[in-house]
Amino acid sequence: MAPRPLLAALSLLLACSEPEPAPLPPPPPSEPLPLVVYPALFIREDEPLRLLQDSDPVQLWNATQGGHVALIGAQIEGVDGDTIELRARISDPETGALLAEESRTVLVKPVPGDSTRKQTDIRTRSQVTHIPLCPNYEPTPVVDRTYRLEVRVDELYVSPPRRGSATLLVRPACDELTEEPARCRCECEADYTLGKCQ
Amino acid sequence: MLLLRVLGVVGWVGLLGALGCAEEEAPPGGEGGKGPVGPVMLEPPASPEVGWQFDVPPFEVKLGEEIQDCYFFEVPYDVPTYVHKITLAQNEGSHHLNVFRVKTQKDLRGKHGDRVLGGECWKSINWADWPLVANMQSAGVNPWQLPEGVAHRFEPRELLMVQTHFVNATSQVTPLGGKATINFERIADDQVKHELGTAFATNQSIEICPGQKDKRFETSCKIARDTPITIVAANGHFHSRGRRFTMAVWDPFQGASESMFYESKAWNEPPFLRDLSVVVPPGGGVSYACEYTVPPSSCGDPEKECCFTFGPKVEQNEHCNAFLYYYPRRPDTDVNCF
Repeated sequence: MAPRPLLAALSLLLACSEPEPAPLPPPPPSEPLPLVVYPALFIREDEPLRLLQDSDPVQLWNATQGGHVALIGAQIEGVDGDTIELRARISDPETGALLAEESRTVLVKPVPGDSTRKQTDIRTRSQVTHIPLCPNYEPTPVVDRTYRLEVRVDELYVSPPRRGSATLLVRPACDELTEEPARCRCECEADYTLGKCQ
Repeated sequence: MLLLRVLGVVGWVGLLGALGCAEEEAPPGGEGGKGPVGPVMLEPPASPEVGWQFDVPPFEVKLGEEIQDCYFFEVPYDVPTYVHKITLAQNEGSHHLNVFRVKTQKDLRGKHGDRVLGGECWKSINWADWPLVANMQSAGVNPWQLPEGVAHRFEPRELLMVQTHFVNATSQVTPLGGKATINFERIADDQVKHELGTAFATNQSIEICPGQKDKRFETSCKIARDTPITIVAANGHFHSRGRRFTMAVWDPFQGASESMFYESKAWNEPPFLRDLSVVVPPGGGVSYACEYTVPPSSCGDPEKECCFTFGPKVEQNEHCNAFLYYYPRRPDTDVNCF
């Protein structure tokens, strides 16, 4: 049996070495702040992008080989690098069904006069998405009808990559950017069949 | 050379086996799509009851030349005709061999027996509403047997356009000149369960510039309407800056599937997958993507900072085109997506 003074000392020691609370685990790596995306319509080379608001018209452009597409770019807050994946989707707001989708790797440049934003390179239409809306083989027309536009941006070649998206309602239209408005409207009517609009 | 020939025949038989036709013999003049050792030779079907042949006679492709020609042929029957096997044969150096049904004739015009050499045959807007019939990018003899009960339907005397594209330059060479032959083999009307439908999709306004790496373009093409379809064959097409071509089912609510049914990393001999059975839901289609890399020293269009933009010339332009074959054909239309 241990002498009493030794027991007392031991109990004192145990009392002093009572385990402290485990240190808190390191905080999880903070989720990078999302990018802030402002969808925009590409008009012409070297012209400012047209920022889109809810229910704005989206003018369709006649593509080289045929068909009509929506040229959708973006201004973005928070982009560090100069390259993004830009993705745009058009869907029916009532059913949720997708009508068309396009994505591409594009360059972004600072917005003149705004140090907080970058935008898809306006020197060429190749740097915006070309959402293939017409010819329209669906049972509902494309133009002068409201659709949901979702634009998503993913940063490329930076760490950690950031992403952001924006959604708004738009109305595809055949008035301004197409060389052949009548052909555009024909291709965008419901139930297109090959040869219908010649 | 003998070893190559043996391997070629083995590959041919293997291919036929995969098609369920292993009892057939290797055709003459080709090596099963792996490049011929001589000009392609393809015997025509034995009789009009069996089928017919379109033949593009040999022509010279000089060093440094890139030739694209359009030939017009009429389906040689006075009644609707169903085809269940198409064999496309072409010499080495072919960039593509495409067949379309002629619809609206604008600047590219022709009737049976006519040919348009270059000129308007380069301008794809001219056949924007012409449905796809068949295509092939591989040299040699390439048979394509459709699934049982599936057939192409042709109307009496329907006009078709056969487009050949040969390159004899730095990216491709044509050592034996241009030549292409196509056989169409018939099936009895009462054996047809489904008509074949087609979709031709092309992503335009692509641009890839010197020094850019893994630049990616992805887009959708909606094909199915009220009922599901089954894709039976697929082929992707881009030029020499292309590094990867993929296709996936595109669901009308979920978007592109994560699993691809087509992948090609070979720009000059991309696989023509002809044993597919890929179901696409109603309202769905395909998502197709092209990835490109351009060496810093390359130059496409000097007026566009040497970038490569959409166009037909192999040496100066790029493409991102998908060819799809499915059944049942939509009752209202074939599909072209732009």
